[in-house]
Amino acid sequence: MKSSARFHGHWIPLALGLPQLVLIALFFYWPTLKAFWWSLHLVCPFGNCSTFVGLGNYTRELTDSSFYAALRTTALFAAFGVSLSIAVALFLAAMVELHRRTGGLFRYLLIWPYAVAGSVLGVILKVAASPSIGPLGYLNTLWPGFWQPYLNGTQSMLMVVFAFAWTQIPFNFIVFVAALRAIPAEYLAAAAIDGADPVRRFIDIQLPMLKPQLFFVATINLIESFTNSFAIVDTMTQGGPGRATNILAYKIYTDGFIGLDLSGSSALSMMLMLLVFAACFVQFFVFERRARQEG
Amino acid sequence: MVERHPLLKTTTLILLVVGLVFALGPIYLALCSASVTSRQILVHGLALLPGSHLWENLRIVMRDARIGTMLFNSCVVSLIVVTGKLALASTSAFAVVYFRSRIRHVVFWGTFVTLLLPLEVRIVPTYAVASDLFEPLRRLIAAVTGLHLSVSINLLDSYAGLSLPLMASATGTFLFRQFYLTVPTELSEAARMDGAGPIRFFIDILLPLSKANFAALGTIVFLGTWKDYMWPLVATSRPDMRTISLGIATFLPTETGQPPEWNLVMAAALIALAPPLFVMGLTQRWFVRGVTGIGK
Repeated sequence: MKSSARFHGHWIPLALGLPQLVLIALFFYWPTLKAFWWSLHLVCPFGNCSTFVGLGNYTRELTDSSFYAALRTTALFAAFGVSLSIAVALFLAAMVELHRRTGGLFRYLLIWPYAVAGSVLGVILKVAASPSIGPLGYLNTLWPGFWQPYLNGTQSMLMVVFAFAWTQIPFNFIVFVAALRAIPAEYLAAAAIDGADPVRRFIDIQLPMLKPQLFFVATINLIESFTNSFAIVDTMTQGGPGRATNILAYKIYTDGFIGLDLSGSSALSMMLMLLVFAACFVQFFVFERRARQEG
Repeated sequence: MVERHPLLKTTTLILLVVGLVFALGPIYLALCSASVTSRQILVHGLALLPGSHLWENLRIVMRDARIGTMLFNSCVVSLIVVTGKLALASTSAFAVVYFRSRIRHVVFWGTFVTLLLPLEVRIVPTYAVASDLFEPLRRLIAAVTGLHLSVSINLLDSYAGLSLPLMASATGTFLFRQFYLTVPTELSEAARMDGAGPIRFFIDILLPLSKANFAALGTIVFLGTWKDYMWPLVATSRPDMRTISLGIATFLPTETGQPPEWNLVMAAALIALAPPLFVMGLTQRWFVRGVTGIGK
């Protein structure tokens, strides 16, 4: 922006920005520093005494098999959850785009799941997945003992992945639909005249032009899978059966609040934070590069 | 579409309907099962067709004092967060975009870094901060003056505690920043030439122009706060401070006791998802605009 359009003075921008900065300092920076400090100390269960142990908490977590189990669960959950939500949303958006004029109702209704809280969905799906009363219980009349999501780790993982994807699809769908609509119709018309059918046009024109949105959505979904999956896991499986759905965010919570292991939980927090950093960094790096190529 | 493909049209239409069944399936299932008797569910399983007991079940659930309190708490917290976030985001974005002072970089980067620190990774220490809000100030005073004060504020189990940590946000600030950057610079130049100060420009020119942004961000923030689960879970211990998205889990039957009344569980779930669904149904246009605005 031209500097002639900007106002002078330091006090007014400071006063305008300060309230938010104070809240951020209190609820973002200070807790993060605290977590970092805790992760370097051995802290008593209620946080009122501590001894410095350096990287002791990190080595303790890094030699603990339950950490690797949680990491593996997080990776599986993220990989399946993110790819499922992107694939389904992309597929739906492409089909709605084919029905551009008549698809209004779909565009309207397919977004509704966004309004449903993860915990409410968790409660509904938990009841619906019940082998005794849920619709999937019919599977057990065909193959007795097949559907047991609360005993079978794979099935409970499938359940939370499905629930997570369900909560993410509307957001992805909105982004994809908007991006598809922004593609000039001439490109598609020209390709059609050259004999490209709708599927080919999608693969060769629309999909490549969606790359930035695909990337953006993937990063957002990835961070959400590290963090926002908590409500689903807590209402549906509580990390079980065994540790089959014990993702890192859930382990941080249970170790900290139920196990009262503030140091270990903080060390885990720092490591999860690194994962979020990495996701953001990759996104930034790629976006920067794209911006430079375009500019 | 450019040419005619009747087969493709039909296939995609069928697939879209399948997608819609999956998207609305859980809501439909809750609706059906909330409209039958608990005996029917125990004998025949969850209902796949609506029954005739919906109002009766909803009345029974609403009579439960818990749900009224939870709905009220959710409304209060969501409205506080929406108001606070809109105020904070619009003003800090104004500071970032419309001033020459270096302070705008401090505001921008200070806000930006919060993107890297989701609540879930700092949940335990944030709880500690909320339980003793003045700890950083006390430490600062102790470090500077050597005085050890004993003032402390505990925000747990209060509306302030439920809403303040959710108020600051990078996304809201960015949404407003993006919008301000599209406002023609001639407006602020003209305002300056006419002798208007920044505050007058903000109130008389910028705010009226940002109405759609307020609506878009307001809807997104309302839904986000209403759906939030983790912060209310740790920030409340008293049942009467629970929000509905948190409290809904308490409707799941425990192992012991009576045969479970699944119809009432589903009725409670319906009540929990109705208000945000209603809000989104009404404001969908703004909501979509907000989401695509964040995606830019």
